[in-house]
Amino acid sequence: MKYISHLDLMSVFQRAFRRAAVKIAYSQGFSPHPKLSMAHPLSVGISSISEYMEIDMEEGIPEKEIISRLNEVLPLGIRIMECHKILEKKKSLPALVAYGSYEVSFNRNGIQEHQLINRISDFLSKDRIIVTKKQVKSSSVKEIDIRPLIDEFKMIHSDNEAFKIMATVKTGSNGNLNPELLIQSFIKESKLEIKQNSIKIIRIELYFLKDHKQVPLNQLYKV
Amino acid sequence: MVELDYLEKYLPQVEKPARYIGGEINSIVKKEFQGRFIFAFPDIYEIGMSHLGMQILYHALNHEEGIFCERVFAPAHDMEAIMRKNNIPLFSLETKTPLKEADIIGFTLQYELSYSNVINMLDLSGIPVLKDERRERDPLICAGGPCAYNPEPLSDIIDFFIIGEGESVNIEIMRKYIQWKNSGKTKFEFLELISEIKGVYIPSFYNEQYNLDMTLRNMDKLYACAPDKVTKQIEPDLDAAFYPDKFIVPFIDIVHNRAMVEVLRGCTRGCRFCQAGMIYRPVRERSVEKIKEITDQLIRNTGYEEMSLLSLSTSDHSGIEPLVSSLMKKCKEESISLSLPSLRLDSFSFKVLDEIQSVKKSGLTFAPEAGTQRLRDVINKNITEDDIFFAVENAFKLGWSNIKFYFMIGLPTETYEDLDGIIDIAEKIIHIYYQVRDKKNRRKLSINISTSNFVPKPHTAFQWFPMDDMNVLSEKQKYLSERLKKIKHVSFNYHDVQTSFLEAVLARGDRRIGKTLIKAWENGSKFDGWREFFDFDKWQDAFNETGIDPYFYSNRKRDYKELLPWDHIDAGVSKEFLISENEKAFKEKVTADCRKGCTNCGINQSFNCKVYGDKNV
Repeated sequence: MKYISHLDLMSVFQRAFRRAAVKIAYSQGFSPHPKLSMAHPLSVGISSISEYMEIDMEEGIPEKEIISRLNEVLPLGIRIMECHKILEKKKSLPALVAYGSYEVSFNRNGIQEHQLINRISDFLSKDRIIVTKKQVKSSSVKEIDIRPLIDEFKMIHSDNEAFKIMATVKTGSNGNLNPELLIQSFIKESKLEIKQNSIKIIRIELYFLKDHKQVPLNQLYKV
Repeated sequence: MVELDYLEKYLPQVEKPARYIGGEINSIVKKEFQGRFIFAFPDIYEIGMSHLGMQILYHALNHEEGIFCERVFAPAHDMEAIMRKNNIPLFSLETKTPLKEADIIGFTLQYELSYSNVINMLDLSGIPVLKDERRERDPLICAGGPCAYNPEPLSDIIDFFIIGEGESVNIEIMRKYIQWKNSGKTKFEFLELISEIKGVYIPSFYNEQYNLDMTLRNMDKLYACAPDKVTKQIEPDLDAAFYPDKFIVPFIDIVHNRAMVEVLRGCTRGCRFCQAGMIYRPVRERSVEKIKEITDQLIRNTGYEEMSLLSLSTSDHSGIEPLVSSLMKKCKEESISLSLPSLRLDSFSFKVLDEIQSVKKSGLTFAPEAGTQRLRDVINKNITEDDIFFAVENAFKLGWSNIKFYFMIGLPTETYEDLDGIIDIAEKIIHIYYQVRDKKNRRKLSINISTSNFVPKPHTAFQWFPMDDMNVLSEKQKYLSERLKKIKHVSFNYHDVQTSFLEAVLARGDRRIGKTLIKAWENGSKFDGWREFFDFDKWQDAFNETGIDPYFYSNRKRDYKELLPWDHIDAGVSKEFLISENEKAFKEKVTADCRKGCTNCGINQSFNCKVYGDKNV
């Protein structure tokens, strides 16, 4: 599933809803769109173990039944884990998302553990970490400082084969850092020989802020 | 098997990796089977997956116990480079099985310019391209589709061709294959076994002889079991024929991303340039009840947001009005859109189109094909200027402002007067627009005129006709371009002349150009149908290096007496009919739609034609 773009993933869901005969509401107007939105788009190439989606339903169906009907028709690689009825409308999911955490793994390729830890600490001790980003529309290049967007970046696992890093970064409309951009910047700054095609990124969780604390999105509607 | 874990190292580096991963909804993986068929489409995923025939044949085979059908498409350039660099063989989407391990690989030939991709895909699979170089353990390579009606250009490569419609015959062949596989017999014996199946053409069972003037003298049968003429296969009854109740739904956007129901097969109109109009005869309809049943199943099983009715001429279905009314209701309930390409723009169609595009009016398309009534009579395109203007006026009144027109240039007997006719039509349309629309609504008008270059095709009334010289076609394009660009609101597109020329050579080629094909591929030709990849120089070099004169195939007038390279392939329409149509064309005489009375095309001699009587009448 990680090779599917956000837009294509939306079609995958729309069609799954139709196959499951779970009717979603459509917007009014010139070209009616189904009312369904993901909390935050997932870049192509990144897997995820926790995605969130908000839908407007046309009819009431018990949560359990929605889960089982959808899971029957979803392609391999996408599973509905939980489903909650939104009783009072709060801010929309995309507006709530503030942070995302990612597990980044790659082959050791001869890199020592202490070496990696040192380079991570060097990386984080910088005041500014400048990356250049190509603008999609104007195709011009823009420089941005990503340091303030990094909340956490640490090694969490190492074995004979690979390392794992946990990265928590700003996500959403109030500041956003693509984990791929982060890891590429780290490779460049640390000068470690990390094999590009061994890098795997998994989104672990999305958070909203409650009293300035990161709270996983799934706590939002839990009573 | 090519491990997905292994592929994962490379997939992030390619554009649209989902082209290569399979696993789509309704794709099928079988663990137990006796015969593996791999359906090969010689173009990229987005094109191949839009093809209705692939969906039908894939599910028809997989519906059978013991038979497993997988898919493969031509990898795009980036993926091919990675595969070649890392020795990854071409693999099937379903189980990532290298093509080399298939029992039978079946290519669909939709377009002559995909031939170089057929060769490239075999090479990427590590399978010898030439059939004589393949060993007993290599898979059998077959091919079908409209271009297989002239199989000879690919006869050095393909073990056997399937002429006609594949729903049932593919299964019959696979059943025979499974029997043969366990018998310990040779490949030759397998070919002998299937040579008796209607529609199967085995090129190695024939040897060709040429005259001194390079024309074909004879196709000698080398074995008694080979039929004198290979008659096409058809599905006699569309209601009884297999039609899938589910389609593979891709993860990524493709050219035609929708569920499709074929409402009828064949066409009664008899346009003289049209190969489809001849080779898909007799005309057969699917019943309204059956179409509705299929539509319901497809909506439920695919979840698609668009449903499309397909055929060569959908308005010709005898139950079109009740059908469309009922489908419009159904689609509205399900919040899905209905699309009806290939509608004739009569008053009923406008009623329908106005309703299904009530809010957002996308473009309308007309295909008058020729600019004057005289030339339309020559090609038997039975549409008058009044028809065109009536439709255009209607379209403008109902709110359309974006209209496309398709014409062909290089048609038999064409003069510059006929080209002026195209310009006339454009001017008159603008005039109508200004009459119909008041000032406020005029800004959005967009008239697009598109010309393609006429390519004479086998099994048509114009199969003897020389194509226009390339420079003549270029002159005609220039002539139109200079004049059309002066007309406000009109844009003009035209097809590349060199591409059409190559299409013409391959379309009416014989066995001798097989070596040119291989040479062109060795020179680096592939994706010839793609403007950005087509390189005419590579082909010219290939013609020179193999001593083939391409003009002999494209620009030579053939005599009725000449033995044509596809004469041993019987599409059911008689040569006498094609000759009489060709004669009538030059006398500017039209032939009516055969629903108004049998025109004696000969199809009812070998097939049951329900349009007007059958062979017993």
